[in-house]
Amino acid sequence: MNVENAIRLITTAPWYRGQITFQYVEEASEPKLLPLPDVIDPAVAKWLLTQNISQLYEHQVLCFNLASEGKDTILCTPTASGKTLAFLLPILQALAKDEDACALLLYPLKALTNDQLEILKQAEMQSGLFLSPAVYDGDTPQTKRPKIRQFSRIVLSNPYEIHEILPYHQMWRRFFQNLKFIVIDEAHKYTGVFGSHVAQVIRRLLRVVKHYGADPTFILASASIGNPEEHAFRLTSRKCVVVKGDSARKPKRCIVFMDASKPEYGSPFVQAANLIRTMVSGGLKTLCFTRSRKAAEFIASLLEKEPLIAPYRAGYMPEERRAIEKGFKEGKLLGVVATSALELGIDIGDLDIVVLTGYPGSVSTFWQQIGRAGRKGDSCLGIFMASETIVDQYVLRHPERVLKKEYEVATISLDNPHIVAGHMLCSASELPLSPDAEHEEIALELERKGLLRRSSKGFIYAAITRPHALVKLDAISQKTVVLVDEATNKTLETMDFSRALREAHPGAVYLHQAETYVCQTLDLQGLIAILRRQDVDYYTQSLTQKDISVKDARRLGSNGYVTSYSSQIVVTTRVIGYLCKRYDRLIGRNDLDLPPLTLETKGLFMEFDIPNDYKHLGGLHAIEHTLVALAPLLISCDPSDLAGFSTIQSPYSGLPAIFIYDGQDGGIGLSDELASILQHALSTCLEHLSTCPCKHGCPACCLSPQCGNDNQPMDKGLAMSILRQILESGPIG
Amino acid sequence: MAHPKYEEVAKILKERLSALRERDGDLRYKAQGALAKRQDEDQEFFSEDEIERFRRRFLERYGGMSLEEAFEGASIERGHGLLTITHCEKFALQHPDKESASERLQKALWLVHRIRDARASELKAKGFQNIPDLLRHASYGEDAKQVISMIAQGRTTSLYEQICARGGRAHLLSLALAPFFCPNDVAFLDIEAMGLFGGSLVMVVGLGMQQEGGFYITQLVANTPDAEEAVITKTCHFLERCEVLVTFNGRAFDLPFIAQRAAFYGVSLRERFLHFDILHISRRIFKGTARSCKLQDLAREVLNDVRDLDLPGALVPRFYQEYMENPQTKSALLVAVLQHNKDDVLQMAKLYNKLVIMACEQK
Repeated sequence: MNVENAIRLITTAPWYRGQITFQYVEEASEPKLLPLPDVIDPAVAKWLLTQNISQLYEHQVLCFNLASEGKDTILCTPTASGKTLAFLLPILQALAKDEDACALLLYPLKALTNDQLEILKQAEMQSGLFLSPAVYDGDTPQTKRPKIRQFSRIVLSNPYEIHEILPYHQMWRRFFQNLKFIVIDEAHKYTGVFGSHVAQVIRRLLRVVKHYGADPTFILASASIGNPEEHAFRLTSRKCVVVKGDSARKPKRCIVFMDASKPEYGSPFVQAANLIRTMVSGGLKTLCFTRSRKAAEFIASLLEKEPLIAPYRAGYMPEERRAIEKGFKEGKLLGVVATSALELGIDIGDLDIVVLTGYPGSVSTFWQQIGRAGRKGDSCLGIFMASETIVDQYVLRHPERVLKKEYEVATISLDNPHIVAGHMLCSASELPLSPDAEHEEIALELERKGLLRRSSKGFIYAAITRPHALVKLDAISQKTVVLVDEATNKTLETMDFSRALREAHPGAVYLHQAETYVCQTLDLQGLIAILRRQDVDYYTQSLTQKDISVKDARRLGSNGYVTSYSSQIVVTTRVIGYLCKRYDRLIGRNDLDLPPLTLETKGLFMEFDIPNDYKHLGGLHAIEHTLVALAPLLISCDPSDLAGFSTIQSPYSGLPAIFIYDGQDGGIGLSDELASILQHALSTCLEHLSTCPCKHGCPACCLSPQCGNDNQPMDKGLAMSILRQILESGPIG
Repeated sequence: MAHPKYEEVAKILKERLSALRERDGDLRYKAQGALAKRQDEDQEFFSEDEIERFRRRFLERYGGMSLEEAFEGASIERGHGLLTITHCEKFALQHPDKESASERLQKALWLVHRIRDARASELKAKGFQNIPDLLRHASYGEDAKQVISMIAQGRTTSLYEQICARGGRAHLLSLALAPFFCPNDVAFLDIEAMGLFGGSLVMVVGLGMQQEGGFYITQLVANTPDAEEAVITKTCHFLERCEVLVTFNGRAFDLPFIAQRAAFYGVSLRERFLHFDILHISRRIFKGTARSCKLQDLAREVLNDVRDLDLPGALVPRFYQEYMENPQTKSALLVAVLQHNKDDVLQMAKLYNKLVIMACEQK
């Protein structure tokens, strides 16, 4: 593909009005190739031969050598640089040399396990080795499980399943006794509260495996993050060697920044659709990432007349997704509009163009998505289309922020007692537990409550309810609603309860594969929504009302200017109605009577002794965002584990206030921890805002890509002055 | 970090566990992997009122009694939270003689490779009444020889595999192997567990075995959770010594549970003994005639053996928990649990007796 020609296609398109603001070229680089190591087993060599692989990238050889020597490794690589081969090679080698050896491969998504299974089955056929690879997860039928436990040498699973099966470890003893490798793919996904839970599951797994006498080697594969070594250690408790996977062939990549914010050229969706149409009609294989599912569907609906373009998102049924992936890979589809579901390693063949509509939230993700282009080393084009949101506009004007590749750090907390205690209960029901010194105190408290008892071998779990049901690895709700096509009875999608209230309410216009449906009924008991296929020329937007109420507030301290409290927070979100819109024009509004969603959690709030003048909200809002954005540094969690709310009229005493609360039902101790270091947190905010070179706020300080109000109102200057006032008024309690 | 924080966390966890338990119902847990009891017992649901009625009846019957009083004649040892109660029952385990068992086995032509029921009838009509007769058959002679030698040499394990392979796991004929053993080599096992998940504690193990002097039922009881280890260890030692094990649904429940807890404590469990799970055998035989295949219902209908006040198995964990929280005032509930367990072992032994006789009956 010729980059200049592709850009000319854009600039000569009828819709083009000079949207390109900046271009940047990453030159190609030749791969660093090395011959196959001599020690490769003939069976493995046979497999490589069948794949036409006669040389390896340097990082693959490095990984092979390290892993074969038993050194724990983390491979940091952009997408499409042969990471699967990098970890498969040492595994197949070990399994060829030792006929009992086994390997466990963990993925965060089920879709990935299915793809990898295909690759492994082929490897088994082509190498002649007995591997019996199998997926063992929630979907594996009971009838298949005993055979897998008894015979499989390569098992593909996920952290949720491992969490559930650990109590039954003695049924896995053959596998665990012979376990030589544990692979954790997409390791950068395990951050925040979720990552902290997974880190505990990994430790429980290691404890059980050690009980059977095994000492497996870890191979982690991760996208580029700012702290690979630290992250690997926190996730696995092992010191891992970092291998940078950049010796693959790097294509010449041109990154183009486009401004799609001017409404006179059409909405950003229309402009994106135009761009994709132009590229596809030029025969260029194009993948467009959107920030939301609705956006993906909407853009695809604008392109519905194009048979070569399809939308893609995680909510589709597996068969649909397989079909799109296959079609795209084989060239039957030239354009796909997708959510981040396609960001992970699913094989879709070579791409010429990647379009990002909207900033995906982090530098890491930006490059992961862009990195999907140019698989086989051909030149490629990455296009960032900025919408009118403040974050997008900031990135547009400051491309160096992403081009400098300062990746965010992944954070995992190892000492949140809410997390650790739950896993200790699980641990103690798997094998008698002798906690490390640092966790001894927690064990004693659990003993005092009768949940643990001492036995001659250590603490044992003594309650009669299953502790594994208590520990949820992530905050995803269990209730899912099935969306069904009225005419065909086919399942269109399953979506979680809270989304269903917003997008599948009666009267909602729902898009699926660029076809419109109108929702007829939403049965919240039976969890089914019935949709009728109907051609409509409008779309709907639900209106939600969010209310926060405070329970059991406990005053933490005050310095006259600000008073801080810790309390139970009840966040009630109610879908009260919806708007009908044609293009951007309002054509109707309807009310809805749906049950509210309540989140009961713990939070912290600060009330300010300032007049409740609307103009102060910009300052409070900025402080709220900055506190949440700094969370990884202050309390080792993801910004997405917390939520915030600013108001000039607090539900507690009517004063202007900032609320920060835990995003997980019941709370997980995060806002408590923040409250305990509040003074330090606020002074860090001030320092951060003062030293940030931006004038009015940027994604690096107080602009949040997750803000429901599009970062409005936002006043960095006022925030700084409020913070100065706080710190000058003395210590808060 | 300070203690109050951990205390708060522990408190929250305990509350959430209680809430989970109440929400899901004490005992109607979804099957957790291989440890689900697949008896009707599990589907039983009792309202709070019914549970209270049971509680009151047991408190009336056994309230204020010591264990010695409740179980007259039993020998009771106490130590480190472990209770060992040994009852001597007026019951004799009997096996028919080995010769009639061998004869019965030899009548089952279908034991021979390639012979199924239809072929067996044909052969019988042609005058081949038993397996030795088949020795002179052109096609089946060799295979018949194999089976005869198994019977003659008393190779019970091979015979058992042959019966299971050709007649199914729950075939009554497998009990015709019992007379190859002395009745004193047969052990009966029934456990009471506190839940169905893979970390549930086994608090009571009932072991029945015939010895000089009578049929003894030993109950190993963990008065506190940390005594479970001793219960499991002693059970595994006991099982080391037995040649034949009899259970009621033990294949799906009791044995996997013991195996799970043994693995938890690192105790080795012998796995190679002849195991008769008489639930499945009973089901095959009595499915049409008996109303239910619960042990006490079978005992009543087939043996005319009726239990007096019995605690439903589904309520055992709950009542045991209540006892553990209040050992002084709720000891009557412990008696109820132990009585239930003892009745299970005894009725199992009686049912076994009857089934072995049926298995050896010459047709």
